[in-house]
Amino acid sequence: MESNELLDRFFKGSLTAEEKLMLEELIRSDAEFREEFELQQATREAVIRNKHKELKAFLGGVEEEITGSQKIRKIHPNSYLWKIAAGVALLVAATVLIFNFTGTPSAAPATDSFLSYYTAYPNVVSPITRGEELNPEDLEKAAFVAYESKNYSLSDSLFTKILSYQTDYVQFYKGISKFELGQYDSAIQYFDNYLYSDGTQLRDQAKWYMALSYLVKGDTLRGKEEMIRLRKSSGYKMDEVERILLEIE
Amino acid sequence: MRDILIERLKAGDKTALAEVYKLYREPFLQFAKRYHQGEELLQDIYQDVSIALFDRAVSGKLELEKSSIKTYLFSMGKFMLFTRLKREQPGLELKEEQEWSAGLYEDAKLFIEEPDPKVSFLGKSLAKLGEKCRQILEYYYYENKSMKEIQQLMDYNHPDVVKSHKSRCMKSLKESFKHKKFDY
Repeated sequence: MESNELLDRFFKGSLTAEEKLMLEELIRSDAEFREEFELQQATREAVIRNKHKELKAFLGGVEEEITGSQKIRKIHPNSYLWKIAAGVALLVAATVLIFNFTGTPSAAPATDSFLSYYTAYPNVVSPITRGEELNPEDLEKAAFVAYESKNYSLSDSLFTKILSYQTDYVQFYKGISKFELGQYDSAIQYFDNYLYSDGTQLRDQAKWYMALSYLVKGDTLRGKEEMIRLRKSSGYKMDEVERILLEIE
Repeated sequence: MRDILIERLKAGDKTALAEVYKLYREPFLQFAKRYHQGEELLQDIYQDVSIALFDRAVSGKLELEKSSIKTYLFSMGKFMLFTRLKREQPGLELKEEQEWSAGLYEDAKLFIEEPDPKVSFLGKSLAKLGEKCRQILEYYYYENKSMKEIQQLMDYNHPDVVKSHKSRCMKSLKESFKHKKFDY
């Protein structure tokens, strides 16, 4: 039997006892074969791990669907809760109105002012040489070309295609694309994914952009929390963080 | 009904995975709460266990006479949970310790152990290979399909075409780390 065939049968899990001995003998005696065998073993593991990442992201979506609908179900049957909620909302609205009319310094700064702290993060991971011929199958390059030319809806959809194999920095740049498209909730999700990944290079950046996303979408409380967390963990954007925190106070 | 679900799992149907996930999620969380209270960790583990089940089904290793889906999810879940808890707190005593079978560890390994640098690097290189390579390698290494089966699934003329395509993919992979050294 050819040695390649032996490997095929090994990976299919269908080696007989005799073939197994042959394989072991080859691994022992033939250095070239051993190298090939080890490469294929490692490739197999990498393929499976990539698939796991893809499935994990998929199940994360299923989980979100479940917990999302549970929350709605929990509120729905108790209509009196709605009435209380409506009452509270009215009260809040009234308070805000009164405060505004009486000319007390208005509470939170407009979200636009936070937007002024934002610039799209440069592509530092996938260098692109101008005039380089693009391999159409190289989706990552294509995505970063779109990203660098500020075509964020295209980069957004291209990043999606490679998301499942390259979980770290792609998550981050997808987050920036989402931010640019004004989809802040979604952006937050991707920055968060990045922070949960093995990626190390862009951690502070991810925290910074996540905090900004909260602020720009109007969630000052969470935004402030994230800014404080960033300040604690590093000195990234130190001055900006201080200014923003002062602005919120 | 359950048979169809299993067949769909075996065929690698992700919507079947989602159905199984929803079907046993509540019972699993109830069961696992006996050992640990943190909902987030339990959900994380439940996702891993569901994927481990999918792995087995897709690679043709799910033996249904021996254990039903639910039994598999519960025993594997407990194994993964105990392993994780023990790694976090090495002195931890857990009730109902039992002899874990070697098969459980084999299935759980990739969820419990970190990849070595070479595997991580290969994972990234794989993503740059292009869709056809990715698909062939997934059929071959993840679904344990033969060249003949892949030929049919991907509409090639002959298994040999798959073979040569696969070796070209492997060659590009090798090229990708030609100049790289991995420390172990």
